[in-house]
Amino acid sequence: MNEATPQLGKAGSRRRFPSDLPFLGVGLGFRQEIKEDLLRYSNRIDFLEVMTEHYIDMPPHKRAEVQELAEVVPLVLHGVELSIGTFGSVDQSHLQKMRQVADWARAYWVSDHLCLTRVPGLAIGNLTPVPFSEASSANIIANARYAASSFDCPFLLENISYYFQPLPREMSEAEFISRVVEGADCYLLLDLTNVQNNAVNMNYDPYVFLDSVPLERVVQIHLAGGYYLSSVLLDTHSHPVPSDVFDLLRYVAPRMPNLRGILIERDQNFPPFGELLDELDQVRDVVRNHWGPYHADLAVQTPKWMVPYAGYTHA
Amino acid sequence: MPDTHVTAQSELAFQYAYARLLTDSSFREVVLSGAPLEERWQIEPEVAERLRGLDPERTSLFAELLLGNRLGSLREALPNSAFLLGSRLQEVVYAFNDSSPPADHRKYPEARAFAHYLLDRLEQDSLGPPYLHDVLLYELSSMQLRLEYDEPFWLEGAIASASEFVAALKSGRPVYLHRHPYQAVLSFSYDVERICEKTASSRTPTDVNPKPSTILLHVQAGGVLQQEAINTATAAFLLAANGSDSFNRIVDHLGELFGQRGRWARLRLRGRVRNLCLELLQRGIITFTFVPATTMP
Repeated sequence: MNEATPQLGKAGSRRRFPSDLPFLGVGLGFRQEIKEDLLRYSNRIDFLEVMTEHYIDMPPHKRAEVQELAEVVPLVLHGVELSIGTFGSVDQSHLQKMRQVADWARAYWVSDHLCLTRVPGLAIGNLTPVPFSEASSANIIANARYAASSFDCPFLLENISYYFQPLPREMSEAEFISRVVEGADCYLLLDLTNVQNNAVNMNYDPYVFLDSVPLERVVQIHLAGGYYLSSVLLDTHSHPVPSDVFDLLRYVAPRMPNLRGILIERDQNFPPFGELLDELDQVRDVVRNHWGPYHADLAVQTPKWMVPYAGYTHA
Repeated sequence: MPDTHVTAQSELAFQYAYARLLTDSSFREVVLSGAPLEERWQIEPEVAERLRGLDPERTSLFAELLLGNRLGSLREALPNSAFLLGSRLQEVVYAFNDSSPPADHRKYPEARAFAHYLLDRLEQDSLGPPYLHDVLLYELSSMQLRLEYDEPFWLEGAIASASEFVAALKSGRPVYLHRHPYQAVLSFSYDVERICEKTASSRTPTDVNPKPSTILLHVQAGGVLQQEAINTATAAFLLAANGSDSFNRIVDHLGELFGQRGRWARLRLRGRVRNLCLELLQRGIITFTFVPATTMP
């Protein structure tokens, strides 16, 4: 391993490390609305991200769906309801169900969000910011450590889009994120669109933010497009990835040695499928042109998972 | 060093109030207005102080988005009923939100709760066309069957063989009939299938007149939902096939129900019920056992 790359986790733990995994490439979120096209063009999609909650407390045919998908394309699991920011211990039952879905999906990694989505008896219904405070970070570190120990694969937390900040604000968002992922010894799913949205909405410099988070812990990147409502840039996953987000991708390009996948999220306002495939190629171009040292072997037509993984070599 | 237990308790109290602020418009209005808080709101002054540090405009925007998400999710789960509610959908969902704060993060328990709320509202208020009640009941039942079924379908030891059924009847051994656990027999005043054909393609049904019908909904292995129109006798048989009564008792029950009292009438009825059983066994809609469900482990 390169000297610049920190040793993540402890050798011998049952958790696998990003360095154990291949670079999956550039993928898309699995959505029922585009299922047919996703399967038809699976040779042009390196991996799929499935939503954890779509397979929890669901009838057996949903389990069969995710198992069948795992036969066709590598899967990673992405959740929205772990609510790791809720004070107190993490929801054991939900975690157990996540674990089950991860097994069905043979997930390369599992992710959820660095936020609050519910408190006992009340479901907020969306990713809600927590205070960037000592108390909040200590709680999330404990919860994330516990959650990460539940999986046999890396556990990632994603930075969210937010439009306001609850009190107290004892540190910056970048400090908060760094403290959590380092304290919990887990990994980061860096949503570059959320970085851009927050930079616009909360008035900060996205490049300074990116310089301040532990990029060596980033295992996956999310990209998406939203729109403005009342001068607020919303994270709606409804539009193409904007050019300023591509700029951020180029900027962080050479600095993520543990990156294993980049994913475009599209949840609504689906364009003709060819446009999504073109967008994937655009991302591949960035990776190919800017990330040579780490990911020169990026698979495009032949997903890497089709051949035995021969080991990962850092430049 | 702060007491971690006290910190956790006070942070959880804050989070609860924070979640409430985002999901309860009356609470939000009172807190963010800065007005003195009455005791009924059950909020500590320091929690209120923290909440008042939120950007009121952005917080309200986010709360509106949450409500929009809730509406979108209910529309997706009950699309035909939502279409028939038309412009009243938003008003009804907002009222539902006021009376039932979102308690479950899962989409379908939420949709089920909304459907029951709407069924109650329809008892008192005409929120849409007269056939809305039927469409809602149909969608609610379909959704529940699709999402709640599990495998295995049948009781352990239940038999689905038509030839064994015939042999058992011949031998005089009592058999107990069990309908498929994931099915529903629904009676409607309108032709729901035809109405939903239209609403599913966003077309308002025209010339809809009352047309009583009974539908059997059942989930097949693999989770496929099937439906078919059935007559009242088949519906009565299926409702009676609950595993507690024997074939002979069901025939007696149906005889009483349909006025088939004489010896020959009863024999004819027995033959018809036997044939119906054979058909339903072959189609996987019922099974049978040699002991009643109540005595099964």
